Amino acid sequence: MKHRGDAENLISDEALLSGIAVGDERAVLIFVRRYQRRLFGLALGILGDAGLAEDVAQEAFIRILRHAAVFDARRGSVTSWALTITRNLAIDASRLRRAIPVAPSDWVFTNLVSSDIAPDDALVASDASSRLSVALGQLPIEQRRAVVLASLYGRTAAEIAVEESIPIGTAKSRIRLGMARLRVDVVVKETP
Amino acid sequence: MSFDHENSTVCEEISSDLSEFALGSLTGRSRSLVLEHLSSCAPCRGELESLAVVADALLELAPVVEPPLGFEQRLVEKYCAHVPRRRAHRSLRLASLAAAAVILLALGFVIGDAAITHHSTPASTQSAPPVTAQLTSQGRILGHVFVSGAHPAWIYMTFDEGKWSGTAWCSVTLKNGRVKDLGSFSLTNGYGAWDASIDVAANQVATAQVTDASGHVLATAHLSA
Repeated sequence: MKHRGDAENLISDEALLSGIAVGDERAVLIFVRRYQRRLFGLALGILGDAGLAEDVAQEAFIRILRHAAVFDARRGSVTSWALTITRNLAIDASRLRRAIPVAPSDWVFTNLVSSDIAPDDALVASDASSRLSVALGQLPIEQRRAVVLASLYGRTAAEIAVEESIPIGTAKSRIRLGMARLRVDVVVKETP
Repeated sequence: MSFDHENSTVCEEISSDLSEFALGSLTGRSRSLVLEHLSSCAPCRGELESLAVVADALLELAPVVEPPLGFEQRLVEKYCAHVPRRRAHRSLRLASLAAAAVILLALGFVIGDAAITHHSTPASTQSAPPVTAQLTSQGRILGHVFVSGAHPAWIYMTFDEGKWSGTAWCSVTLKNGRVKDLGSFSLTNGYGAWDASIDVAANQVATAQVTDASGHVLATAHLSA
């Protein structure tokens, strides 16, 4: 009998997707175990409703598992792929549920700058996200809100302008300036 | 040159939308214009690539939350309903598992007998539907058991509830009354997950039981219909 903490963690995401693509049920379970907290957490953060978040996370898993064979590692990591699918489904669910999106609670913006990552979840957390957590915390709060609203919640600049009661040009500037600063801190400074 | 100048002007105009494009929040005509420009501008594609790194990393910062109890079981059932049963592709499947085993051995990990047995058994035949069941104790759900439909079957257990910590012992009782010990494992504050192979068909397993070292039953799962 092998314990989850050792054997499973040594199997790469890409190897798991290869196994899933050929019908390996063990690979399915290991993949689900590895990603369920991340996908559910992202859906819950966007939707704020545990029941709806579970539906979204499960649908995201179904799509990932069904399309495991077409995953292309050249276009990004498995983590990014899985999270993007979840985020898009959560945004769709949110828009279906309400004509006017609910403003995210402040804890979301606070939690994002936390660097407290559990060992299991560190498996799917990149170096870039660790640096970003710090860089995000150093952004002016207005820029941080604009970037997070666009990123996690899929808000357009026009929607952010309405929510924050600011001109659309200001909303676009906040997104652009925030992303430019994060890009420098996360990508440019790390490039030799 | 005039072309470069014109292009750089467009680049400046596009750059304000590039961040929103990377974040996936740009829509309509603005999105179309960015896509059109990117098809012919390598510098902007390069900038988008680095912005995409930031956008991807932002999603990774989302809160990490344990899903509700039974999430895995419900997902497996839903997945099985969506995906028709397929014959496992032996060579690829065994190759990936064997590769994992080689890595473990190279790193000095001790792999349990059950895992080795599973990897070296003959090719799986046509899979039957997997069986799932709740691990319960006095009516309280502590975790879940999944038994694959492959032959020979393998069992996967998760504990998500309870406060018990220490070495636990797992056994399964077959429909013919025979009891098979699967070995020991660790639980930490009621949390743990592991797997092992069983040298019988999944539909022969009646119950799975987890006990402490003294034989006290921590949880039981009834797998037969």
